[in-house]
Amino acid sequence: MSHVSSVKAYVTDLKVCAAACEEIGLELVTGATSYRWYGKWVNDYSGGAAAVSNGHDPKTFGTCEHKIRVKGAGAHTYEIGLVRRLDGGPGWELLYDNWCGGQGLEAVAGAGLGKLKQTLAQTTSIQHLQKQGYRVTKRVDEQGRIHIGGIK
Amino acid sequence: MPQQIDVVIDTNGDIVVSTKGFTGKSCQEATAQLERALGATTSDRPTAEMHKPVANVLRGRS
Repeated sequence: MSHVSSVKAYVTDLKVCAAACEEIGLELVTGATSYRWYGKWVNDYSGGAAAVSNGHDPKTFGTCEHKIRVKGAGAHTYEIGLVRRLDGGPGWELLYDNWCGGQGLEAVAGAGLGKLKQTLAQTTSIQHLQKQGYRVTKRVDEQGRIHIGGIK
Repeated sequence: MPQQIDVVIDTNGDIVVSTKGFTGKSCQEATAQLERALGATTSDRPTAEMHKPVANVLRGRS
């Protein structure tokens, strides 16, 4: 029997997250209780990708348990907050202000934080499969998708 | 037959995990821990179907 699962990415391991951040020029700051954003919710966006559409209270915007920042960034570059998952599962969700690409944040973390999420998932997969005794391979296809294979 | 686990991660960070060569429900047991480490499983079926990406942005894009 074989199966296919779709998985929504969360941060579940801070060490893995720190390693993924390091790889692409970001820095995890553990214990940070606030992250930089515009600072005021202006209710200008409620699309499917909006935090408010996914159940996050705007009153909590800017508060977090940990944060991710661009290494060497200036004082205006927005940051990413790690906040507890609203579904009660283990780990954290990533929240950030994407106005003007997060003032430079998306240039490093990718649009929609895609590069960060991709690197996080890659690091998690490789570490997990190697621990389970799989022989691991990696390739990147023309669309930029990363393929991690584990065989034993 | 070798047991194989494949993970495909697109540029949005969306993840699909698939298996080959397992018998019975052992494939789901083999990937359950990995899927928990990656995040939350949103679907589990014999054919791939990407889920809608959620970026959790706080404001609109300029």
